[in-house]
This record gives sequence, C-alpha cells and structure tokens, in this order.
Amino acid sequence: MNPMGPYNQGSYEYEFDAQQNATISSAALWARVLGVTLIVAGVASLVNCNVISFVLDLVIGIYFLGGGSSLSMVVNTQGNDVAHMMQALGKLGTAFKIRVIFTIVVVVLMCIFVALVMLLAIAGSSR
Amino acid sequence: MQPMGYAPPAAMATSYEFNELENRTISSTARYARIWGVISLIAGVLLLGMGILMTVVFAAMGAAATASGSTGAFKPAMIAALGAALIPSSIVSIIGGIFYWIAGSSLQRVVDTQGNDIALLMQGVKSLSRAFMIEAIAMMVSFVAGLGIGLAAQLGGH
Repeated sequence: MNPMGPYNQGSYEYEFDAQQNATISSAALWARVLGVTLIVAGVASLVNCNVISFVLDLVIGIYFLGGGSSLSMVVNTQGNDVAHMMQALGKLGTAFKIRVIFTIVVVVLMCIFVALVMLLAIAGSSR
Repeated sequence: MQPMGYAPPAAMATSYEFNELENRTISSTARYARIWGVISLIAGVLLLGMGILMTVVFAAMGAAATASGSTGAFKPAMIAALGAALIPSSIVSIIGGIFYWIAGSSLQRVVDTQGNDIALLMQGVKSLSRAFMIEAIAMMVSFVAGLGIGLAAQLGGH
C-alpha cells in the first residue's frame, strides 16, 4: 500500500531544489509557530471558560502543526516531495475551511453583540 | 506537451505538471485561502472603521463630559482607548488578508495554467509563509499585551 495515499501513483517524482526547499522550510516553520500559538491561545481562553474558542483554536492549531510537519518532510526527505506537499496543502486547506465556517458564524454574532453594546452605551451617556 | 502528473527524471527535472487529483487538492486549498483572505480583509477594514469611529466619537464625548464637569459611571475615554487598540490589529488583519488572498490566487493559477506549476506553487507557498508569520507574530504580541493589561488591571484592583 502506498503510504502517501492516492498521490504520486505512476509518475516520476519531482525533487524541489535548494532555493525552493528554503521557501518551503520557512513556510513549515511559520505554520508550526502559528499552530503552537493557536494552541496556546486556545488553552489560555479556557481561563475565561471559553470552551468554543478552545476547541476551535486547538483543532485549527493541530491542522497547522500537521501542515507544517508535512512541509518539513518535503525538505527533509527525498522521493516523495509532491506527495508530502499535497498532504501539507490538504491539512492547511482544512484549517482554512474550518476558520472560514466558524468566522462567518462568529462575525454575525459579534456584529449583533457590538451593535447592542454601542446602543446601550449611547443610551447611557444621554441620560 | 507533457502529460499531467509527469515530470522528467530528477537529473533534468525543471518543471512538473500536477495531475487531476493533485490539482483538486490545490484548488480546494486555494479557494479557502482566498475566502479567508477576503474575510480577513473585510474584517480588518470594518474593525479599522469601527476603531477610528469609536476613538473619535468617544474621545469627543469624553472631552465634552470633562468640560461640563459631569462624572458618571460611563467612561467615554475607556471606550475611545478600546477603539484605538482596534486600529493596529485591524491593520494586521488587512495585511494578512492580502497575503492569504495572493497565496490563494497563486495556488489557483497552478491549477488553471500549464507549464509553470512549480514556480506558481512556490509563489503561493511564499505568500502563505508571510501570512503565517504576520499572523503568528500579531497573535503573540496581542497575547502578551492582553496578559499585561490583565495583570495591570488585577494589580490596579487591589
């Protein structure tokens, strides 16, 4: 069974050169830093009992970490560069998808909340 | 023309055409990266507008309240400060959004064009890297700032 899944079947493998590896390596580093930062922020949000933010940041952080690890494997291994790159893009794409869906929900709720707070503040100041 | 998913042997490999399955993965990531970019951009612009509005309106209200000598529970200066704090994070959101959008566009061009897949992929990866860097640094700064403000508020309360 191909450990890389459905990618890289029956085709020559492309090897990224040193310059391309440097670009990928930088992306891997920052994807992992962002993943760790998100996980830390998620854990910190537990202090405020914000379970939704915790779960969201944790899941997205894990996907970013996974994407970063796959990008690192593009640089550190040979023979499966395109497959590792596809794995990385898949994980990062899933992280973006989760963010997009949750952000749309959160933005709608936040707009309602901010409008209410501002109305209350203006009503309070006019007394 | 070389078939999709084919690359010449490594010794002479200069280009690579992604196959249909790979293109689907890239396309999906490109779509959501662009949507996320647009969301960040719109959120940044809205936050910037709100931050400026809050700063100007509530600073004026605070000045008027000070001039008239009224002291209520409502503190316009605090809301003005909150508005001012929104401005840097909104700028970060706008810049990050632009990079996500550029990354998504480059990745989409990998799918839509032929003959330059690897170069376009590298452009996309480079833009993603910059977006990740901006977001990670902004998150760390706001996390530390939030921690500092929280601690200051705690200490100020005692």
